[in-house]
Amino acid sequence: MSHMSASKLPPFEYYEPATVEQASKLLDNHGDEARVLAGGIDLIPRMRAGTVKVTQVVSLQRVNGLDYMRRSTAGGIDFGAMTTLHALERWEDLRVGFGALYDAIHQITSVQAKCMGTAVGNLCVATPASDVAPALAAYDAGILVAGPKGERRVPLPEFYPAYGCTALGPGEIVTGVEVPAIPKGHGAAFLNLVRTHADIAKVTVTAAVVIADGLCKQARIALGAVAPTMFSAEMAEALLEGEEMTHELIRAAAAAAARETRPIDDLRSTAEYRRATTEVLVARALHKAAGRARVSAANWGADRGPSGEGVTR
Amino acid sequence: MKKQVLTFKVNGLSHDAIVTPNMTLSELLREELGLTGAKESCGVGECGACTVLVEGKPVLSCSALAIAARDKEILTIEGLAASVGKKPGELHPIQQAFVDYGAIQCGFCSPGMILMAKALLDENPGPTREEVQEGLGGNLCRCTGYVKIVDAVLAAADVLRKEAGT
Amino acid sequence: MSTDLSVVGRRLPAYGAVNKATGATKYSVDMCEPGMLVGKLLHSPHAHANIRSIDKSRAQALPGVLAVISWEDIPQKPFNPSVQDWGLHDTSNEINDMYVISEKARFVGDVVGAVAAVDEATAVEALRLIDVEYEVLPAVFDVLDAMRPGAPVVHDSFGSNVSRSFGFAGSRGDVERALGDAPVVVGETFKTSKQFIQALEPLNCLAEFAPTGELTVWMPVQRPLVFRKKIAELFELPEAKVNVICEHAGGFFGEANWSVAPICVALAKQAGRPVKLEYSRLETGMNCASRETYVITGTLGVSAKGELTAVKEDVIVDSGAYFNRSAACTVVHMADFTGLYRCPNVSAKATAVYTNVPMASGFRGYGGPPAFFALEQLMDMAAEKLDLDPVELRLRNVKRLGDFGHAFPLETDTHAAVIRLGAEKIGWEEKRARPKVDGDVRRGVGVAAYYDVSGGQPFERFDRNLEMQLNEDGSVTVIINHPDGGMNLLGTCAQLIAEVLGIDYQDVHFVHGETEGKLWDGGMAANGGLYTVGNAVVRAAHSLKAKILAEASARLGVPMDQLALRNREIRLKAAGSADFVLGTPVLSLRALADDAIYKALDGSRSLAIIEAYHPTANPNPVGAAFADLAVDIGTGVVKVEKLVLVHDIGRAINPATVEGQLQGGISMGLGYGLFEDPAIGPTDGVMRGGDFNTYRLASPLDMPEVEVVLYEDPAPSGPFGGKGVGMCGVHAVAPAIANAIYHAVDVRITELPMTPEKILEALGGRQL
Repeated sequence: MSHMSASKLPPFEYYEPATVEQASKLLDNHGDEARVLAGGIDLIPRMRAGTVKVTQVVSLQRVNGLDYMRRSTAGGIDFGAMTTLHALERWEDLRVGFGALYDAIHQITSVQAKCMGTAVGNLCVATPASDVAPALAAYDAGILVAGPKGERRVPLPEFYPAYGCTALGPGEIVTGVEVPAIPKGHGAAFLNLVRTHADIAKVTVTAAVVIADGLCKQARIALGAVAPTMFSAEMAEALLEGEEMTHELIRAAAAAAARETRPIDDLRSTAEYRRATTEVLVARALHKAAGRARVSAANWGADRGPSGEGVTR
Repeated sequence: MKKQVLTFKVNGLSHDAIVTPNMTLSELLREELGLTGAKESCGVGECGACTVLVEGKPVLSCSALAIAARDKEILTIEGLAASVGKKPGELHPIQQAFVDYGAIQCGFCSPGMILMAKALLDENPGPTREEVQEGLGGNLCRCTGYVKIVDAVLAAADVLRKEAGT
Repeated sequence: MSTDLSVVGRRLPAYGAVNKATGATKYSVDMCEPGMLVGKLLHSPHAHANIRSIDKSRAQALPGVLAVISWEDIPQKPFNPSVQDWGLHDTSNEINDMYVISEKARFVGDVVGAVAAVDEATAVEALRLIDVEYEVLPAVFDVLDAMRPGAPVVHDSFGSNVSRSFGFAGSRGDVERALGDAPVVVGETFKTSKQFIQALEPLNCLAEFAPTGELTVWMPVQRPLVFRKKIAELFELPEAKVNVICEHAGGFFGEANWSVAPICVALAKQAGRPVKLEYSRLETGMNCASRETYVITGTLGVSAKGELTAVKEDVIVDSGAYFNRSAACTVVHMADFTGLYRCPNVSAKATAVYTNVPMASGFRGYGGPPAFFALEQLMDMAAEKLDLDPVELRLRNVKRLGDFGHAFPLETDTHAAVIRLGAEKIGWEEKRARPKVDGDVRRGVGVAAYYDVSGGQPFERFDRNLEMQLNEDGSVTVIINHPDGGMNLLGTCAQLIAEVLGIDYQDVHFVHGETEGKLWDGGMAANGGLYTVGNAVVRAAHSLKAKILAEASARLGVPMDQLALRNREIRLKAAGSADFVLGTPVLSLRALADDAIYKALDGSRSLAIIEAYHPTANPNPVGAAFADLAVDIGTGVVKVEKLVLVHDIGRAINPATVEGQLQGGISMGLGYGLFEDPAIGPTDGVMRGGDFNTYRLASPLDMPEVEVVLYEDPAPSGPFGGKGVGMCGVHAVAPAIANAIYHAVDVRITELPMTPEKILEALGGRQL
């Protein structure tokens, strides 16, 4: 059991390509032997522990054009593969307009991890317990991918085909994330359960709804840590869409979402607890999201910003 | 795996070191440069004891590659006081507050904690108690229960604001 | 007692704090010797297995490997990686049941081999090349399962897993009869959890033999001289040829597993080179001491007036794979459980049991935290049956002046006042009466009391021997064997010495980093630093003062009783006044010391003292914790809003130091109560909560508002009235939380840690 020992990194070759094309080519050439290095907060400890074994490390730190964050012309937000979680957390447009995403990033405890780590790196680790992935999914974010066959946009839930895997093909890298503009009457809420603040989530939930004319026009319930991958609770979403979000309906939707989970027992929690509390958190998140959606509908276009979420904290 | 002689700017001075890609920043500092102020406690980026500042940002040196830090400004605890013009034997106001407020017990977390506090106060010179707790959220201490550490950071913030005349 | 103390009672910087703040302090993990090799351990992947064969030849043949050891290469002497058997009390004798490297693996991670090589990669490769053939045996992980007939036997020589059963020497009265007569009887079984020390400096050791055979060992160790004896005996070296160096350690909190050093020494011996062995976090958890896990069945009998008439305990100790300190910790545990309150009839008995999990040992609080977790919940159960306020029930039963404590009578009468003060600080009356329902949460407030010792005397040797000298510049040097582990013992002692000698505390210097040249000292443990070392330095300072004044008296021709030391000066008492402060300075201390060396016509002499101190009392610090919290009935999550802890310190020599000890203890108590969990697999014995990703410590954000209040009523036998504190913060946090949870949601959580999963289950599922 040599992995029990504190260990130094095994040998590897290190590259700092200057362009996405070069990076993509390196990855394509080396296949499974290569990994992308962004912030390193996941990859380096795993390589030290021996749970990730690669011989080629491709750093993106000197690739031009991957560290950006900007408002899109449509009113959404775009950010790059090398944009740190810390930069996103401090971005006023994100905090005010995309409050549940802000909450998901803000609650990450280690400031060092947020200063080093990137949101895209967090997504590419492909842990089912990411708080950021469900938050982005609830905002219908798209993942921008570049590779030997060109560029494509992958809707977030589809980015995770199976446990620990991403939809990236050979030589492909994520270059950025697009979050579309939010419509009038949109509200979202992030909630999770952890053993301690710095721990990985036992359950993580982001719910987002659009309410117009008193009815739920669109519902997004993105869940993490309760199935092999992050996923959207589609049956629960379907229950809500087109209906008035009454207390009873929210209860029913939360129960449906809990039924869609496939949780496991592990050192952090039990499957039973995860399923039970998914229902509680989804109900709470939906109530909160619906409340914010109503504020958004009422105040749309007013000075306080496009949604009610920005005033959460 | 190539060995290269690279130049690192540590605490305002240039150092040449023979580096392989698999050398972490903490190994460079501790083993090559003899700067043992950055501690390695967990080795997985969970405790913050190895925190140093790279280009002013807090970095977990156990989880960063030395090679990636070449040509960047690295500040370790050994250089903190001098970085604000203190003479040998004098302390940075954050260090002084840690000493004065009883925020140091075994001291193993202190270098990382102090540098993290510096990064926090550089960004937010007037934090609330809660903001200090959030700012130090990635730094573990097994001795103090954090009460006096937070007290010290708040006190240092006052001193630094006064020094800056704000 | 003098009331115009000038140094005692001040919040002065802790010893060594400036060097720690600047990164200058070197810990043993920072040490590096020329030619140093890297040591690595080979762990058993099986929870229970005989080693059929172990072939080291491939590893030995690997270039760069200089030592490969297994059980055959280790001195075949039964060993206990804990302190000496002191022989002062029969139940504190431990069992020597392990070898430094095992021939039989008894838990997942048990060390079966070790290597030393030129670098880490080579060492790791060498481990891979050791071929071990295991005969895998059935294993047992639960202590109750281990007691059943037919259970796999962890140590063959015992025939079963029960290693020892022992009664509590302090049992008295007729408990069964008192329980039969009591109008109110409460009983419950509690299960406590393993908690790891996980000091931030990972356990490590650097060992080096000189060509002439002298051995130097660097490692974090609380009792260096006791440890030196153990190493010397194990390797058959003269003690004078062993030097154990520990100037600063990155946290103590308990006697970590001393077997790290014997393995490292064995590697260094075979390799003929210095070897450094550094444990990973998982190893620091797995192969070091953890808090004992207990299954506690407790019963209380209470009179209609709310007075305890019977306290009974039956405790099963899960030693883990090796006995370590199972006896001493459990004796203390039973003394804590049966001794916190006045009661005429008490009995306790313990059964120590082996299982295939990592071993337990002494960890901050010893057996106290488990004892108070059980006892203080039973007290609340009794209060409920009596329809009495929990605070009131405690006030009716606390020990008073002269009542017998752990081994000596209580020296002050403070516990009732301490509990009342805590109740006032938390707002007890108002919070007990406020509405519990607040949306999805239920609010509750709870109390738990504790008491402790100020050292291990008379069961262990807490004797101190030290040298104190006046330097020619008028400063004082103390030569003493106490590593600094962050408790500021030396800084506190400097304040005591400065107070007695009328000098600045910064004029007190310590020579303390290594065993070489030190007089024997029992080391640090059991809350005993301030009380025993403090008393020793105060006595030494008084002796030195007398020597100084005698010297001054001879020089000045003034009777000694007309002279005093103040502000580094010898002063002559003002005429007609008892006040030395206003007296006339007649000679500086510096001039006196310097003259005694450089100008004395009858020969130069250092003014110096050798102090041998044997503590003959042991005052009990007492205290109480109060928790104010909210339980989310949808998730079972407990949010502790505020913790108040009032501690009777006797006298706070340095209040900041005392508060810091308690605040740190509280953070450990919080982890013990709510989330620290090694997550040992119930069917495979694999520890899944090992590194800091998986075994969580409280971060700054996990701390509630903490209010620590120091209650001062000087203990007559203490240095300026001071008593112990180091272990006390941890004692009562978990039970105060447990009682507050019960107050909030009417469920009693009897198993640690009190996770949301357990609370939700006890609530019968989510309540929303």
